[in-house]
Amino acid sequence: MADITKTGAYICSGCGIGDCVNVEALATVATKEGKVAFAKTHPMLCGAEGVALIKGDIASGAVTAVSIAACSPRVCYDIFDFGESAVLDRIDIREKVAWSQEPGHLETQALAEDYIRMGMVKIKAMELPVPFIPEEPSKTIMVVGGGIAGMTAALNAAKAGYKVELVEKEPALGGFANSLGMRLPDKAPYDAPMENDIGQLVEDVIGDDYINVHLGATINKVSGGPGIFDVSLSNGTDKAFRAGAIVLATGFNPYDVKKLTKLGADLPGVVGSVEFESMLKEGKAPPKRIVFILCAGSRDDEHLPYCSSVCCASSLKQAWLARQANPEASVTVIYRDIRTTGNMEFFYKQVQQDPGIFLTKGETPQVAREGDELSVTAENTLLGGKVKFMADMVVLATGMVPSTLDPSVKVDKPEDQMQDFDRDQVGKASILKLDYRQGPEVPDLKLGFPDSHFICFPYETRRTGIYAAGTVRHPMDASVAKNDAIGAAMKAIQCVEMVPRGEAVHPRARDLSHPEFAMERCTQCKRCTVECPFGAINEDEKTNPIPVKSRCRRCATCMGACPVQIINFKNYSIPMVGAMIKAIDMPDEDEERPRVLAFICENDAMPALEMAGINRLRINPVVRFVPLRCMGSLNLQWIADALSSGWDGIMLLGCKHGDDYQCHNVKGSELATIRASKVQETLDRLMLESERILVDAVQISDWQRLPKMIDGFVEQISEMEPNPYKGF
Amino acid sequence: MADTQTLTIQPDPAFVKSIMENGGETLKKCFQCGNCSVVCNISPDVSPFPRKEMVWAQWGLSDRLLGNADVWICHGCADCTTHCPRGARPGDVMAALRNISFRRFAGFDFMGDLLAKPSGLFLLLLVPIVWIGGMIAVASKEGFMSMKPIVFSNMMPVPAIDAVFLPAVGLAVVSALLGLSRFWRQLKENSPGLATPPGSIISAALAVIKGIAIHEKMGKCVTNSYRFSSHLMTMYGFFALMATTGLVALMYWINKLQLGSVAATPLALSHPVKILGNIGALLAVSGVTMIVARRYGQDGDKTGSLVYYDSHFIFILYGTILTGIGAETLRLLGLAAPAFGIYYVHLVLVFTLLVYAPFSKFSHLMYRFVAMTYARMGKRERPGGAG
Amino acid sequence: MTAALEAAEMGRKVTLVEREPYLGGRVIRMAKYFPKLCPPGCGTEINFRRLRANPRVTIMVDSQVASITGARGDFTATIKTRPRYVNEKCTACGDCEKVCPVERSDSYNYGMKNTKAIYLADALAMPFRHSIDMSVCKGADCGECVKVCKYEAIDLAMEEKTTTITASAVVHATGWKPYDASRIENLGYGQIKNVINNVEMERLASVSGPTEGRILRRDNGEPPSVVAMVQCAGSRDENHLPYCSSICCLVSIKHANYVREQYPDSDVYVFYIDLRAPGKYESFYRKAMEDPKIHFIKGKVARIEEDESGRAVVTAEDIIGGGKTRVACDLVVLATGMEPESKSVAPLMAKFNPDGFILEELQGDAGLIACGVASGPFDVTTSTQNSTAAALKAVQAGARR
Repeated sequence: MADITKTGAYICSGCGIGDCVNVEALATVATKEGKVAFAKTHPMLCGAEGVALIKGDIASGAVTAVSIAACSPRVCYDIFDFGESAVLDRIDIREKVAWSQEPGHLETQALAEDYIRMGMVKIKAMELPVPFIPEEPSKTIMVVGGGIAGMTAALNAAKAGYKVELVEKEPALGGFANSLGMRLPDKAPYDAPMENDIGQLVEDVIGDDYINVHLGATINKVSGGPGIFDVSLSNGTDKAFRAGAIVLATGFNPYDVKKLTKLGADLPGVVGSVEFESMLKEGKAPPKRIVFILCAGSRDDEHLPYCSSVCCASSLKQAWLARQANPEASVTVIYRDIRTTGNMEFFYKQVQQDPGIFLTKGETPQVAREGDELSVTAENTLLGGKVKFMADMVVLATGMVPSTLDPSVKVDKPEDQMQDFDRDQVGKASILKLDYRQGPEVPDLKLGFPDSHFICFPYETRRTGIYAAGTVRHPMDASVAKNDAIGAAMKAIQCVEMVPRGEAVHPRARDLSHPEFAMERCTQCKRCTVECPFGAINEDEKTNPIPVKSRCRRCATCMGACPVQIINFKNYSIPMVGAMIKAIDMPDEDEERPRVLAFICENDAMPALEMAGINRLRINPVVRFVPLRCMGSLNLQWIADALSSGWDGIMLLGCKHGDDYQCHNVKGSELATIRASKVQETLDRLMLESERILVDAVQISDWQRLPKMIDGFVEQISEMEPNPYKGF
Repeated sequence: MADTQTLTIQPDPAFVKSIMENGGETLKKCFQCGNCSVVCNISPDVSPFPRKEMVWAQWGLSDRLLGNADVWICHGCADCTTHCPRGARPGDVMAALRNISFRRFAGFDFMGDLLAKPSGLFLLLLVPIVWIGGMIAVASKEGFMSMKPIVFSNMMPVPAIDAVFLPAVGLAVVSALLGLSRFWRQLKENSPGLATPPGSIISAALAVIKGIAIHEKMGKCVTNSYRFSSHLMTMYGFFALMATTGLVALMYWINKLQLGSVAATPLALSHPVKILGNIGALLAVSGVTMIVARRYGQDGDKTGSLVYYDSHFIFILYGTILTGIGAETLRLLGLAAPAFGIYYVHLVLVFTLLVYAPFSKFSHLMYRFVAMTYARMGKRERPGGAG
Repeated sequence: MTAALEAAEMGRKVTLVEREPYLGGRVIRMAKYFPKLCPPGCGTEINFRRLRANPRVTIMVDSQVASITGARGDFTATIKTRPRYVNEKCTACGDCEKVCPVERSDSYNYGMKNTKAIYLADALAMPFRHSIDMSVCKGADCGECVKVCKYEAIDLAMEEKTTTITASAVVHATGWKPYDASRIENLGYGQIKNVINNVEMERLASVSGPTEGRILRRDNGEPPSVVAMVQCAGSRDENHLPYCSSICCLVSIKHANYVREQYPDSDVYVFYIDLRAPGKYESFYRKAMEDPKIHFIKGKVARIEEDESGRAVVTAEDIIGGGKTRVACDLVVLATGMEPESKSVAPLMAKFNPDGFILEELQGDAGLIACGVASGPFDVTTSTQNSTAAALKAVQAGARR
């Protein structure tokens, strides 16, 4: 707890704040009600003079905590940076008040004063975080999978000076690339297949003394967390080592061609692209008439709904090689769309020019046997309507299935005890065998690809310190996979560097705070261990939570989950927010001045709100905003606190959830919605209006819509009776 | 195109190769975007060309291609080539298909072979050189070289000319007609939707002639806009020259058979027939010069790539016209030896031009006319064209 | 930003040099990302947040690298910083804007909007400070902004600054620009008002854009009822950009979503050669196909003409449907491809391929690294991914082993 008698409040009157509110009155609130040592106002706190004023107070020992009421913490962050010399809090009365409220209005002043009240109790409850540093952290990186991606990740981590443990289940390195004759070009001018140089990569890996290769190895168990992953594996002998981070590069399995019976997979002469590749590699001359069917089992709801990305290019390669092997051959390629993106277009262009290769778009292909021959029909072709091709061989270009899938795996638990994460483990190949309460493998969102925030954080899986790379993450070709692997190695390196400094990794990078559990009051309800989106909390046999802190992303979902409020951060806690809720000057029931509390996600809704201010949109003055790390950190205690302190309405403004979720912590907003719905049920039971609580998703770009949405809610609240608990 | 029946397609690499060798070497670059069909100002809305021809060409579907009126409705504007995103040069492929068609339909494969390669040129020229040379040796007047004024018929009397040209051209006409009838059959067989032309052949032909008379289609070319004027001049110049030749022959026989008395060659410069001839020569030489300048000049590639077939036709035509003018000029200058020499060359070239016409690019004139007429009958070609 | 942050979070010092007065590049100007249809501002804000928390990154906006000498492990770069005429005392309070008498065409909004000569690029701008466009500013003769600024933040006499730094590696993340569609003669861009390109569409759909997020006809401001997306406007075309720009198909599907969301009665036509929605993006395409009012037509648009009512008539051959098709559209969006900026902004030591991309294999082991669209036509997630890779390559150049 910050020492309130050693806390200074600094109130800026610049940027129109002074024209909008009475800053002296704010100072009085800070000292009289907030009981801080002093409150100083200044016309330009961010100027050299203002900063010197604060620094002087810190240096003289007058304050150990600084509360600055001025602009948003999103700006002047570098100016108001006092390091570890003082606890710092920023109260935004510029964007949230001066720029978005009617100057001089009674409610405007009330709003600013409430923010000061909230700020004063907040800083009182804050402490400087003490970083958590695991014991004996390792900077070694474990790479699982010895294919192109895995080997590239290993080599690049090694090149940067990190030791690597490379684990491959097969007796040799190389992965799928070993089965290829020639490979796709990855260098300009991209006009011909290239020599398969996987051997060179294998040699480089074996020759690198920073890389320790385990062949024919199976992982028995991975326990611990980032910095302290303890791995045991066996490949004949049992081995154990500690790693700081893991790169998951286990690649893909080709889709089982035998399932494609509609495409004649059971007919003689019909082969999958993998089989055809080995024919080419072995130097068997292909027959005279070959028909390729692309998207065989891809872009198909009965098989793989997604596009496997590489089949177009690799089939073009095979067509080209087939013509090399048998110049008499004519090769027909039936495609749905040729998807040779980027520079691979040049390869397509080149292959097209082979006079023996014939390409056409064609849909719903069908394969039949006609005597000694095969026939392939397709609709909507470029040749006009439905056409038929006769063939001696049909090649089905099959897609990629992430190696994380194994349909045979079941989870041995009764249905009523299954949690979401248990269901997630059904059909998951046993690879990492994580000693995690939420299951042994990395969760996916759908289709088996390890979940990540697909656009912005491509590498983060839902297991901190474990980064997916290559085709296990997304269908991609080898050259993309190589780059992908280098990036994943970088994330792993970051992780092993940041964890020993006690820092959080992406997205709350460098955050030093972490959850602390007051275990003596724990009721073993398992809520935190179940709800943590990152599986950071294990359980002992008595279902006591065992947080593995280096796994923590600091989203505080556990804090929100805990029904007995035993999980808190030094600078972010249930009592802190609770105090803020109770701190405001609640108008009396008969004043007709409703008060609405809005919990907003600090990543999206808060910047949106500020942008509304920057654009000088009016924001309803009855609403007080409390930014949360993540909606997932919303504890129901706060709702109870708010209702009992007389707030008339509560808004929870988080992020979109579902398949296209936008929550940076994957589950935060979804969990908050579930929690809020429970309160709403309770309210209904108590004959209180459940409409007093609104849950909505706000995007950062919603700044224009947001004020209207807030007005709408306030209007709805105004139509209700005031909260009956007012004044209690 | 919701064809209900399923067609079996067998790609024909040999035919693909032959298109590539006849000027369409870029055809495999096409990726079927359809850009060409839209940039073309001539291509109709319903089953437009040349996108479909490009895919047929890529697959070597010769039957569909050669009985296809669209190959001839294409006027080689090269707008498709200019705008092709892939460098597939559809204009060249269409031209190549026409080159192949001349040979396919005319028959007498050896003729086509001779015309397709420079090595055949010697043999082709040898025939008129010997035949006309022989006729001169036999029929020329004694000492024609020193007679004044210079009269070409002293060297090659009209009956001698007729003796050479009437049978030769007759033969050409026969093979042209044969070619046309084959072509007509193919059109009926392979231009689906046009197989039962509802319109009358006469009115269709008249409409086409009207269109050709004003070069309605070439007028829509953008890339090869030069072609409108140059081809128009060449065409009218050529027709004028042909008319002159015919009139001169007619006048000769009128005099000869004493059907009347008209002026005899050499005609005075003021004689209407002479005027017609000179205007024709002027038009033709200007037109062909423009063509040569564009196609063989800088950026000539943009107008369409040149194959020997084109060059053969262009230069025989150009040579014919230039030697005609040269002979006349030298004659007027009174330079007997060069005048007779050039005239001899002129006759050789005229022979080459006319007699080999059914096998050369010259026959575009009849195939295009027939194809357009057929298409017009089938309502594919509407007045004003499509596009 | 990603490359800088990844290296900085690992522990390296990074100087981030940006030509514009703000960070965020092209992406921050977009309305939404595919396939989640979420706003890029969200991820950008996360990166800003990471930058705020990381003193290891020195941000230099308004700056360009003038020269680089040296070799892997030991480069010296000279950086020229254009005068912004507004110093770090600026609080972005906006008083100056109110008094500024001069307007300029706003390049942030691709000229579809005007700002004052002193302007803040965007409400999300980082750094959050104004800047002055001296090409239109009247300078000291006017000085209105100087008078009104309470914070002495405006300095009209500011001069170009040159900074020299040393570095062990150089990462080129210079991005792209939309291909100049006016060079595709037959598509009418620049001539027909209702023909726009895809980056302009992003601004139209963006709440901070010229129409506050409403997609409207460009000639009369009416809501459109028929909109066409024209794929491969410049890409996969030897006469323009020979490569596939990788993103345009998905961008256009995204645009179709924008239109359909705003106008439930509208029809959207997407004309394409091959619809390229690789990998998991397929489901994004699939969802659009389920909308009966989004029409996908295989056929490249080769002609756009204006009719008497100002609509843009698009012609293409409907290759599967048969025949030429003409659609009169209220708005036509050309899916213009990405052209690397690298040649114009990063002369320096890097080597380019003929298309202007900085390819790794051309650089040898020189410590010259490229990522994002500087290294090839990539989407945002792939750029994020290979920027992370670039950071490691840069770190390796300084590693001692």
